[in-house]
Amino acid sequence: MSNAVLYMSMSLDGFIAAPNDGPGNGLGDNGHCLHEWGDAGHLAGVNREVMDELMATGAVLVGRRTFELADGWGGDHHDGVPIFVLSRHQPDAAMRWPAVSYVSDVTSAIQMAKDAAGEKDVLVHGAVTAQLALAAGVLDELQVHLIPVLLGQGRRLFEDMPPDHIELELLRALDGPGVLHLRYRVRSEG
Amino acid sequence: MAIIRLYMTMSLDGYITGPQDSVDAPLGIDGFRLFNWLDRRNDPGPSGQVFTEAMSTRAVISGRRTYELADRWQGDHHNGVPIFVLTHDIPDDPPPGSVRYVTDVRECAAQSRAVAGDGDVMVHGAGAAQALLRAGQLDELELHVVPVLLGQGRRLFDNLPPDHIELNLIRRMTTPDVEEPARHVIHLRYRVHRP
Repeated sequence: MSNAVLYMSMSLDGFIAAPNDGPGNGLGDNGHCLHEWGDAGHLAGVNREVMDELMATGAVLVGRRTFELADGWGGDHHDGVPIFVLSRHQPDAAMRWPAVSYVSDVTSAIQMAKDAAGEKDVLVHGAVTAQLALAAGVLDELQVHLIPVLLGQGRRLFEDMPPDHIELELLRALDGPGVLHLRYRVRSEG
Repeated sequence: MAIIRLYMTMSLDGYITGPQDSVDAPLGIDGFRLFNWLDRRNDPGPSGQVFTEAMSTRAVISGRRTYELADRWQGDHHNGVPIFVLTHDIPDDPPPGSVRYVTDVRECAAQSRAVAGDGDVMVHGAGAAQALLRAGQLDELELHVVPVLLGQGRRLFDNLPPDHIELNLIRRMTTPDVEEPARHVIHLRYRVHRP
C-alpha cells in the first residue's frame, strides 16, 4: 500500500527557506543550513537511512514553485520515477519532460502518483502542496527533518491552514548529526 | 551560573495557543488540546520528569501578556520563587506576592540569575522568549512538541530578526508507545549556541 509522505527540512521555528528565496537562491539567504544533513559528503548512519527511504519512493508530487526553483531536477528527481507537478497553469515548454505530468487538483494528483508508485511510497515536497494535501485529507505521513536552528524569518512550512486540528501520531524519531528526523502519521478522523 | 530556560508547549506547526486567545480564553479556541500531556505531570515517565524539573526552578521570567492572562498567578507561580515580569509599562498597583516588574531584558536576566543561585530560571511566554532571544540571554529551550497541527493560533517564534540562532539538541524524551495518543508529546531540550 502506497503512502503519500511529505519530506521537508524545517528549522525549529518552522521555516523551510530563509528570506529572499527565489530562482538561483532556492533556500533563501544562508538557508543552506536546512539541507546540510542531506549533503552527500555527510551522509552516514540515520541520515543515510532516511535519505535512502526518500530515494526509494516510487513517484514524486511537488508544487510548481518548488519544481521550478529546482529547475525541474532536469526532469529526473531520482531513478526516473514519475513526477507530478501541482499547478493551476500550463507549463512552459522548457519545463516539460517525459516523466513529468502537470495536475491541477491535489486529490487527483496524489491518486495518480500513488497509482504510478505501485507498492512504493509517494514523495511529497513543497509547503503549498503539503498544505493543500493536508487540507484535502490526502496526506498520509510527514517526515520532518527538524534542524536545530532558529532562522527568525523566511518561508514557513505550515501557513494559511484552516483552524481545524489535524491529529498526528509520532511513528519514529531518529537523531542524526545536525538533524532530528520525526516521522508522523496523519490520524484519520474519528 | 543559573541557566535561563524556556519551557513551552508547542504544536508541530509552531502554535502555543489556538486562534483568538484573550483574557476570557487564554488558550484560544480549542487550545487546551496542547496541554493534555500535563495529565501526566505527577506520574513517572518523561512528562512527569520534565514537569518536576520545571517546578524545581528557582525563579520565573514571564512576559506581561502571559502574566496577565494567567491572572498573575495570584503572585505565586510555584514555591513562592521570585517572578520577574518583563513589561514596558509598570502597573500602578503594587505587584502581588513574589512578583517584580522589570523593563530592561538584560537587567531581568541578570536579576533572575542572581536570585536563582545554583538553580535554574524558568521562562514562560512567547513575548519573554523572543525578548530574551533577541538580547542573547536565553540559554536553553525545553519544548514540549505535541503531535497535532492546530492550523491557526499564536506562534511561539514570531517577529524575530533574520539572524540565525544555532542550537544543539541536548536531550530528547518521548512518551512511551503505550501512552494514550492524546497525551503523547516529545520533550526537546536545546542549548543556544553562542559563538
